[in-house]
Amino acid sequence: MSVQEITCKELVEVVTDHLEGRMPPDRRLLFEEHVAFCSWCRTYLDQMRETIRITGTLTEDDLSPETRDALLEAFRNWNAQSR
Amino acid sequence: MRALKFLRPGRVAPFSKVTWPEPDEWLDADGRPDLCRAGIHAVLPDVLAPWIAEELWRVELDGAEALAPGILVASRGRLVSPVEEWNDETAREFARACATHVQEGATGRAAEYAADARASAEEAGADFTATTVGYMAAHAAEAMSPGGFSAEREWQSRWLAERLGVSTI
Repeated sequence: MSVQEITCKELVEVVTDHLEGRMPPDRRLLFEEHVAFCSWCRTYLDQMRETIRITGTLTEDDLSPETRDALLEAFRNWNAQSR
Repeated sequence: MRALKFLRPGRVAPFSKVTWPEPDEWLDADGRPDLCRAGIHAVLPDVLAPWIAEELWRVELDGAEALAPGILVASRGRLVSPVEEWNDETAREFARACATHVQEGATGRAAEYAADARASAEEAGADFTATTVGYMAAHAAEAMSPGGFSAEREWQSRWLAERLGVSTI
């Protein structure tokens, strides 16, 4: 592809970098140009921001013991697999 | 410094979701101007086409820096006046102009993009649907000639600026 642009697939892959401010300026601009015309990606980005906002308000005490144990188990397995 | 700003309905910034205050009241940015990250963003007439949204405003910027071609980022800004000529009618006119501009001589893949643009133009309004048609037309131009995408976006921005009477702000 000779046009300088970000596709929907690429946007999904780099959305975390964008939200965490880790993209270089030229890629940020391409990212926002894409979001300006792509309603699907705009919805996706809004959902990601809302998820971060909501989960950011959770504390350890908000979790039931079962949920906390399930999460810890998942993280242990994830950690073991990535070694 | 004067510039232009597309906003969502109700003076809402499309990316930060910040609601701009009433005209003439200053909006202060958090942090130093940083492209697509911090600061009040606005555009010059020559890059209007990719940033279309429902409302178009003339804005005044304080401490503006050009951080990308045609894109200004400032420490504060205020709305001056709405561009009344920007509405669903002129948006559809813009979309049709985009489609028509690439239709002639388009063959193969370019013709397919041009046909998509033509079909979508009839449904376009003063929102992302208009810039989507512009995007399709720009891809038709690229399929006809490498480099056509950027050239077409420039042509579209010039068309918009002239039609809306904002070539000079």
